[in-house]
Amino acid sequence: MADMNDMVREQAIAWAIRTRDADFTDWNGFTLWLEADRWHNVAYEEALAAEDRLVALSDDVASAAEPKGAPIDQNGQMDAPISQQPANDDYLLPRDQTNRRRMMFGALAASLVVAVSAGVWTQMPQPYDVMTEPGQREIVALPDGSQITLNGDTSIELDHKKPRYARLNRGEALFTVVHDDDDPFIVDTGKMRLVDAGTEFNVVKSDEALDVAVSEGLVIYNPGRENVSLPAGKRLYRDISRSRVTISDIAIEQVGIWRTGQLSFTGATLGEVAEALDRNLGVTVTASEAIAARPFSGVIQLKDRDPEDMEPIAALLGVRAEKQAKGWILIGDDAVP
Amino acid sequence: MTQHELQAVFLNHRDALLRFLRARGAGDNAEDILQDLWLRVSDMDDSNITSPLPYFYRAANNLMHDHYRMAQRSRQRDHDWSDVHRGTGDASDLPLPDRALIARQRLAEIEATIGSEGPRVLEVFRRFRVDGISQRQIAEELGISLSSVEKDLQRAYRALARWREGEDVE
Repeated sequence: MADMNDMVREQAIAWAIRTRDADFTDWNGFTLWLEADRWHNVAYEEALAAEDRLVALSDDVASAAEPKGAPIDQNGQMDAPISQQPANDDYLLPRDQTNRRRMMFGALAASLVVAVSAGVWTQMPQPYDVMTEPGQREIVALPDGSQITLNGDTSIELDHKKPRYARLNRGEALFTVVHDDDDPFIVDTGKMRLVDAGTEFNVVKSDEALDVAVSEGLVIYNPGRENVSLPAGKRLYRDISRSRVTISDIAIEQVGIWRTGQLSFTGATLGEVAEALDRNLGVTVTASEAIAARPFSGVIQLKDRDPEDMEPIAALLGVRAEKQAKGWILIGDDAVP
Repeated sequence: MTQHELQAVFLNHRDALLRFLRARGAGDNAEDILQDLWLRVSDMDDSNITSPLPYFYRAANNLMHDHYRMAQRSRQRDHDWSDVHRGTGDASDLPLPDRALIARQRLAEIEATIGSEGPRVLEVFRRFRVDGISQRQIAEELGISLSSVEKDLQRAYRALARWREGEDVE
């Protein structure tokens, strides 16, 4: 992990080596080190992961050498017994089964791991999703003090192991990030990546577009590719079908303003406005094909508005709202019902 | 060590073990994991467990690592799935002999990377990591100090991590 502090990484390697040693007993010391900083555990796992790769490669070689050998790694555990003698030139390969099994923590501890593998882990924290229904809001507090505010109809993927990472699959979220130069917060959406070099930004992901607005600090869009820097007050709009990126200005106070019950649009299509209404009001709102591409700029006040009364909003947009079996459709003034 | 003695050790150090599991990221599941751990241990032939406390810790540590590995693997599977759809399949789709061939090459690379730190570094690493010999024994065997063994191992592990990062970039 390139973003990990070197000193922590060194310490983690030292602990990985110590805890691998059959003679190791200082589990109290190890506990204290882990507790000193929540990154220590992550760094320790990283140090072990390098070894795992080595083990996986040994397994590949060994299982090919004797296809009828013991099943490898059925339980996702690392010390599956290997029952053949490797060729002498495989310097790093296990010499025999006994050694192989003793390799990390002795046969007993190893067999214990096999036994426990299943079951408990289904309850363990893992990569997890946070989803909101239309009209619902949710604030996710991350361990580092960062905060993600999800608008309605939004789906975001987080990971307990990577607390500085989020994937926005759908919808809109405002990221208020505790900045760390050595460990930037990363937001992926589709194939696009945003890296925070600052603190607060809003992201909308729909099927048609990615819309990023920065209210504080700096966000990097697709580092390593387009590598666009977005300082506070800038907005990036990427039309997905046309692969076109537009950068424009946005008033900082407009970023994430949906939290206050206001929707602000600058040159948005009515299709996008409908999606935003859908997210924020919790009622189904779509734009008819005929008007979906029409542009709209302006502010819609949603506070205290009755979601069952779409007509005043439609009037503001210069269209009509028609009640359907499920929600509302926005149609042109001249459309025949 | 009888079942009874084993249980006494377990109960005496229950809080410390819980604390350790939480430090390893077990969160709210620490209690459940510890309970499960105890059930498994009490089921086992315990006559070989001579120092139970380090044994409990080690098992708990392995459990947590096992979990992280499984989570990593399931993410990797998702990743491979999308790779297949983009037409850039992963080595895990290859037939076993091909995979073995690639694995051999990779192992040779790792060996070269660690070996570049010096022949003793590679030998110490192999004794430690492959043959499972303790650092103290390696020090005696090679007639060097314990801290030299530790330093060699750190160089080997750093090299291994470097190699892995290089591989990820490919």
